[in-house]
Amino acid sequence: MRSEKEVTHAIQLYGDTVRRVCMVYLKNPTDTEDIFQNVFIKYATRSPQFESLEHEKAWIIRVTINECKDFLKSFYKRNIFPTRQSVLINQQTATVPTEHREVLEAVLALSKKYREIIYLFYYEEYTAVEIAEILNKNVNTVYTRLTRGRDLLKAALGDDYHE
Amino acid sequence: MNRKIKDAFNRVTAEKDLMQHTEDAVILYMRTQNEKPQIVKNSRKRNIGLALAFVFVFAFSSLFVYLQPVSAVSINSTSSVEVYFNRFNRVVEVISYDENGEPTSEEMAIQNKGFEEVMDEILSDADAEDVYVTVASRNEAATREMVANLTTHQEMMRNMHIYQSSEEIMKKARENEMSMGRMHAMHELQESGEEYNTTDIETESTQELMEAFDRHHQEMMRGGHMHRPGGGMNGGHMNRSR
Repeated sequence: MRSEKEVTHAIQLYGDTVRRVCMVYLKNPTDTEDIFQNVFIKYATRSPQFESLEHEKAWIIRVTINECKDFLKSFYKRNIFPTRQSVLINQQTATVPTEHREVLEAVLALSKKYREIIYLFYYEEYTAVEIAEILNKNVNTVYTRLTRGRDLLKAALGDDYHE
Repeated sequence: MNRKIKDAFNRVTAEKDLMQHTEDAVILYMRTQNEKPQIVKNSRKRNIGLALAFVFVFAFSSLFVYLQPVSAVSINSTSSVEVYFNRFNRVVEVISYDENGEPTSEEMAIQNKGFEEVMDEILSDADAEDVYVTVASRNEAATREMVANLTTHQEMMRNMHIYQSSEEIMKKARENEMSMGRMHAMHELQESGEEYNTTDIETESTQELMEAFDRHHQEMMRGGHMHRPGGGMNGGHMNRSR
């Protein structure tokens, strides 16, 4: 088990990362707290010895993604009627400054299989191979979804956001 | 697009309250986990230790009880053998004596056998003219049962003499490493009168001692119910110790 000091440091260091991954998957900000605790409890009790900070961060992201997926499965099993997507996205981006909100809303509006790859590629700057490893997907699938996600974003944001 | 997405997601941060709640909850969980296994481990170890201790105590107690001699049968003729039985009428000890009443190293393979089986085995091998059998037990019922069993042999063996001794004599014989039959005979002869002095008694062979004791006993019983050699209890009375 990790020490309390290590856990506190990890929360400070990776809190924002976990928050962002939760936003990409959950959309509903009220579900984030449970995921946060689960991720860092796992970090405290089950994390391996890390070779580097990058290794540690990748582990945190992978665990957060898995926790979010597990949460979503149980969410649907409970047959709770989901809030309209547009409402959830607005809740998520409410605290973000206006000039950045459009981009965020466009990313969050994408289907999950695209937005997770867009986030990992453009924000976390992982390669397609690394993304394939994190998501446990075929690397060709990652390339395909990356291309498709990019096209959808261009369509949503217009040519002004063309890189 | 790259820069725009990065700038947009850079604005997404974890709320301070969220970070603090998470820190508090995780640390509480860690502290609870640290205490719990120790208690479980300790109580599990303790329970296992207690169970093992109980098993050992029970096993040793059972063994001790099983091996405790409760009854004894002393069979004396030219040589002697003393057989001790536990409360389940199983052989727990066998001691052989020579004609002078000294223990020998001769062994008999009758450990853990039942009373009837042992008596059959020993008495069927006895070919002496007279066989003197002395019985004692802590338990009156056990004594009666042994006597009843021996009586059937007496009916078949003409010169078998059965005596009943006491627990006290049985213990005294063990303490002195002496045949119980011999100890019983010595005790009775010493109690009987002056014609038998201690030195004479102690130096006689077991055979001679038993014969002397039997003669003395017959004289005591004359005129009433007697224990007759040659089988057939007259009225079923046994020679009884005081």
